[in-house]
Amino acid sequence: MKLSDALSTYISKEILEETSSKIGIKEELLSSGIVDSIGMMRIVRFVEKTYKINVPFEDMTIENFMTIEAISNYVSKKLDKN
Amino acid sequence: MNQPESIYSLTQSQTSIWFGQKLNPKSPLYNVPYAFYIKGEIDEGVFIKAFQEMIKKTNALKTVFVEKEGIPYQKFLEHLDYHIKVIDATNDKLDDFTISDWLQQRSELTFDLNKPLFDSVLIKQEQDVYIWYLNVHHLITDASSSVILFNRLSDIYGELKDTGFTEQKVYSYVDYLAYEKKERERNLDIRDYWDKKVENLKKVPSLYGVKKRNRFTTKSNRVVLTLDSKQTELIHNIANDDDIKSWNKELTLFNIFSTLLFVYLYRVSGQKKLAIGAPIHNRIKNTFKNTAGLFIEIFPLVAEISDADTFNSILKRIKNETNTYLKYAVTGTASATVSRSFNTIFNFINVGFQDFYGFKSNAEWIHPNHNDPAHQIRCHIYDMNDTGELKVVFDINEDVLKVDNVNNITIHFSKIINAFLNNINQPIGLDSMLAPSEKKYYLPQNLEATKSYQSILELFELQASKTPNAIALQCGNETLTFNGLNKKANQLANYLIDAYKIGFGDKVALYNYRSTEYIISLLAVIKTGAAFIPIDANQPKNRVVFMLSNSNASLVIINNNLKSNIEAINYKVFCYNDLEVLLKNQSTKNINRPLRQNYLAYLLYTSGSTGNPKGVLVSQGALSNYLLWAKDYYSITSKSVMPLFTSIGFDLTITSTLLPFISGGRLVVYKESPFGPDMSLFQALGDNYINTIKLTPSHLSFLNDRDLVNSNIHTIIVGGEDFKVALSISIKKAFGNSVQIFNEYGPTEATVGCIVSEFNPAIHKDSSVPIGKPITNMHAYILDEYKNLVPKGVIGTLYLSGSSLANGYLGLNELTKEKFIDNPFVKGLKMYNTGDLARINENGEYEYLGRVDEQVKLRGYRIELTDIESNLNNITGIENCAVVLAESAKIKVAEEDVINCTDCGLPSNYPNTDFDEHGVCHLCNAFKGYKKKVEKYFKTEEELKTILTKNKGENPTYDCLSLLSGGKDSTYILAQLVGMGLKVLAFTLDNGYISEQAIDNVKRIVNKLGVDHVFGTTEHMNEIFIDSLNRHQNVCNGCFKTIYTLSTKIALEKQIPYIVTGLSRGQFFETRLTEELFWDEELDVKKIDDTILEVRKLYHREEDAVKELLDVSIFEEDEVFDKVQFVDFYRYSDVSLEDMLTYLDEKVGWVRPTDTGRSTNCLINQVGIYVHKKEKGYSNYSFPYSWDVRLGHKTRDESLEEINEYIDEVEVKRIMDEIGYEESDAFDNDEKLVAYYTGDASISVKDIKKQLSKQLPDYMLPSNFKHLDEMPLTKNGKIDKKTLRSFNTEQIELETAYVAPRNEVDELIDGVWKEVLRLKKIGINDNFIALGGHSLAAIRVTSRLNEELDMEIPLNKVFNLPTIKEYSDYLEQIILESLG
Repeated sequence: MKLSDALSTYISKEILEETSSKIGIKEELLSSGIVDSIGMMRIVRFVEKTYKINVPFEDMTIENFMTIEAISNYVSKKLDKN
Repeated sequence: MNQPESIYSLTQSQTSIWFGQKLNPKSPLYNVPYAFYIKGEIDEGVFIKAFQEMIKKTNALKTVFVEKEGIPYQKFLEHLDYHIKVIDATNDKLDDFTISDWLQQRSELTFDLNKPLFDSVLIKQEQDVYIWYLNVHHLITDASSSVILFNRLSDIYGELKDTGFTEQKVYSYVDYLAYEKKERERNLDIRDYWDKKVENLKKVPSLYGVKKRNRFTTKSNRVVLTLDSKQTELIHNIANDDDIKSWNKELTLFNIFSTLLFVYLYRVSGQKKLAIGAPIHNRIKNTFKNTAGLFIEIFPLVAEISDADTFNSILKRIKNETNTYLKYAVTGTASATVSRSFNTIFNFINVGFQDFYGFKSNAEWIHPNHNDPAHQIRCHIYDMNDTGELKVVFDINEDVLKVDNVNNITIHFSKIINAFLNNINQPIGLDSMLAPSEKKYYLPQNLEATKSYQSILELFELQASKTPNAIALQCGNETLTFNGLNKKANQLANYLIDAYKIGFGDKVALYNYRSTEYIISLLAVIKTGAAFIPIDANQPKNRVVFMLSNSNASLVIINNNLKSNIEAINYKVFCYNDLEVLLKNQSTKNINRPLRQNYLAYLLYTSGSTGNPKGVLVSQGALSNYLLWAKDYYSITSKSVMPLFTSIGFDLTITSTLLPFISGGRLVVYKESPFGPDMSLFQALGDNYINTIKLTPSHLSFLNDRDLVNSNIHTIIVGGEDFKVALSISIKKAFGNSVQIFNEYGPTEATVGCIVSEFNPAIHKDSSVPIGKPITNMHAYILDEYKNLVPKGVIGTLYLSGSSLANGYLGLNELTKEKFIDNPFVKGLKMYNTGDLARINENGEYEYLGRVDEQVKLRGYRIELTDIESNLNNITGIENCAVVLAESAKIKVAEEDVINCTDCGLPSNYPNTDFDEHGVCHLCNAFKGYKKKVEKYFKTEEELKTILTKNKGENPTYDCLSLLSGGKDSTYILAQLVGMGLKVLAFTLDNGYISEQAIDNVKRIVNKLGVDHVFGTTEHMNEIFIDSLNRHQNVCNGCFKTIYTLSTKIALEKQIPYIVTGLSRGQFFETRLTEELFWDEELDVKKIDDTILEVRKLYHREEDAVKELLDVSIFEEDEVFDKVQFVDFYRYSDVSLEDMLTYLDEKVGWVRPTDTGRSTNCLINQVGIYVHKKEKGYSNYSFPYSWDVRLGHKTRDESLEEINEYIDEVEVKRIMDEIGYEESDAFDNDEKLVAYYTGDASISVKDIKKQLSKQLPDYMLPSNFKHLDEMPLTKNGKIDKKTLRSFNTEQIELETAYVAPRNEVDELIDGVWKEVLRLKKIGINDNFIALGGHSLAAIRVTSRLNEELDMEIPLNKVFNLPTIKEYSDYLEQIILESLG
């Protein structure tokens, strides 16, 4: 599964518990209130577990986790480095 | 689905609340009451119906709790009829209460957990104004739940009002129960994460200095701090900063406020490692967002504050910490362990209530005046989304802050907020937190009421003229009137002036016993204008010499008997007694030299951290300030009689020495006892002349169990140490309550005493008596690390300032500058840093809390020893206690720092070794002195042959038994014996670890040499190994004893007269010979052999595993030692290694075993070496091999090579496991906490530990507890912690209590034992064997004492009389007999 799809599925299913509506990859997660700060950290935990990467504190920024697209980019970059 | 019949377990959060309620059944600590003020015309009938409908659809409200075998369960009632009461209060009729009082009272009702857990009323306050009161127990609600209930009722009311029916869904709490259970079970790793995170956070901070106690009240008070618009705006600005921003604004504010709370907690507790509990809402799933019930769980936020921290640096760490917190705040993973890590709750609230059916409404969370006592401070931050207003609400446990002081918390917190807003990059401690009302504690009003200076001399002389014939001084049968004393002092003063030109600027040392002449000298020196230096007659000589030279004393007035102590130095010295004739001619008139307040009154030496004492300079002004105050405060009058019985060199003694003379009272002098301990205190009590006494608590505790009802003492002044309430109570009782007890605090640097309290059993309930309040003209400040005055209650460092302050230390300018700093509160004054911890208690009294430097560091933890001590003191039965960080028993030297003797190779970490400048050890050097004699002890092979062949053929089968290990040395012996034509039985102990090749060697050798051979075995070998490892840190000792035991038995049975051993010459010095044996001028070989035989007898009778497990009955009778004699082969042969190996190779066919990996034939041998090296730092072979080298049987290189052989640690561990030996963890921990206590000896250590562990984290629990009959005291009567620190591990573990030597004989034995056993401290009741004394040590001890006393004490006495006390009594008896 594509990174962004996996993220989108996780957020819809686990955080929003809505399977019907899909979140756009450019939709702002935080400022729109889709995800709160606990949700944000659940996403961090999800990507760490799923992709076996470590997200250091300095990377926990709004820029990296603003949208599904941003998260996908961030995770791909991390995976490339490894 | 709702299953009414089912019962459900509680969630973790519910369980802890349930237990909390059970512990406090009458307290409304978990009530969550709200008053919703609704402005509108409510249809009461619809409201009642709506409420009933809400219950129907909200099963949380239908929860009741049941208990089965002590375990709580919850169930959900199917139906619950609840007709909400409506009260019309429009005519102000609410049972005569105002509405707010009524609400408050109603909110404090307690629920029955078996019944529905809510209470609700609708109050009509006035036309179109209603109050909906709803109080729900926390077991079934939380903050979000309150909003959910409010909104639900509003919705249902609306539906009913508009349509007549409701379509609200049912949201079941049961769904959450299932979810919580599932999450809990599958996230055990996260639970572990939390447990681990708080592992080192068991010590919650002492907020406002209030220590953890068993039960806190549930009572709490609420205060509100609303930030003004300016503060709010600034906070929002900071929150918008890119560096500070977190995921969202809410979280950023959360971070900011938790940072402020951490700083606040640090500053009101002084604790740097802190946790705060923050609830997480846990409404993870969408359906939960509408479900009422208890969802929250509390997880800790953790921070460690450092001195260098700024607000911003903490904030940055908190930002990360919060993310970690959120990441792991998973449902079902909180635990009771985690909640014990904090006592502060941080609750960030940003949920708001809507309107009620379009009516404007307002919610008020009523504080039920009670809270969970584990949450001593709850800090709720309200972030009002609509207005941006920020509100801080504190609920404070009343045991932490009483209601009168509770508002201070808002002042303290707002000072921190302001400092933060002022500059987030400033250090967190820059600004004071003090509330204006708290200043009064430090800056008392009566400052202006300064008493003017009056010199003590003036007062004394005035007294002498007023009551010339009153008795001023009494010493034994001798008395002096005021007039007499004054005249004598005048004469001496005149003489000092005439003969020595003594006057202002001079210092005169008074080196004397407590005596009349001391008092006269003291007064005389004062009269000349010079300063006196009191020096205790019992001070060690070197210390006296140091004081004299350091003080540059102009003159020493000395007692005749002490003269010899300082003969070596060149001082102007005279003895008072020598002067009587000279003085007779001196004038008796007052000298009338003015004594200004800046004159130096005395120089007093106190112990310094450098090892040398430091001299404190006290002025006449300071002395006078203290004495004038004391006279007044203690009501010292002409009727007062005080004893002089404490050391004159101790500043506490100044009180008794001078107070009577300025008050017209009397001083009774008690001289030191020339023999043994000072019994003056008991003498003074027995005489019963005195009515006022000053002493230390430790001294006072001697009076504990005495009946002193008939004593004249009515005033007791205690000083110098922490004074326990328990002691003061029992002393009061001993005196039939007719005594006033004062606790005086003051370092020498602030002249005797400067803070004082009178013990009052009605108010002094804590473990120590407070030190009270500062005396006249003195200030006492309690400052934090940034030198801010700390708020009332908070612990800080005590600083002193005012008239009684000393001028500093003589000749130590740096130290003086460091300790006496400028007083920032009163210009022109100095302020002395006492290094003591203190706080101001509820009653405004200062409490002493120990030394700042009583803080020790153990395995990285900072530990306040006083903290442990005060907890110990709270245990019933413990009278006095002291906790020390015990010094390491083994002095660990880094391996690279170890050097080896250039002659013999002995390592420098072998105990008590000295090396000379050539790197030669003291053993080698000493050996040079008796080498010749040792050589005489050794004999030739011819002599051996003579001995062994003397009775040749007497025994039908064997001439001798030869011990054969299979190694080179024993093989060589066997071959030699056979070569002598002897019939030999070879004996080998199969200890289970002989290498296969060695066994082959044994078999081949006996075969080749044609001798009979037996293997000895025992099933107890492993137990013997373990015992040997524990006792001697090697396996060989156990093995050897087994060999001797088994082989002797065989020899006895077979009537074999000799057993030939293969001990090397070096091993003789390990097991048979000591240096002391060669001390006699002429070597008496027979005497040595007799001694060795005696030792052997003792050796076999020593208690150990061999004696316990093997049959040793043959050794009970001495005759066995005649029938079977030991012959040490190498005493007669000094074959070199090279010759031996050649011989073995050529004649015997001995092969060095390769399967042990070492030069030994025994596989377990290396376990012994490993354990010995680890526990003692050096190999057990170091010592015997050094002797082999010294005696020329090995070269240094050969010895070192064998000692440094490789040890296979994996194999070692395997064998340890196999024999069942547990490696002690003492290996890695050299330091440990040891608690000493006096009192009830029958309390079990287990109980003490159990009680302590309730109060203290594991790392603060002492590893050992030792009961003492008495605390060792210093000369000044304080607990002697240095002595306590010098006990070693074995001694601490001994059952016996430490008792110091009683007399000279005790001391002599004590000294010898200490040297031989290498111990720093031995009590006279300690057992020689338990201290590690064995037969060889017995030789050493006995020889030394015989030498010292010129006696012939038998060797076995030390085993028959194994304590210093018994031994000493025995010696004394024979000494007396010999005199008799």
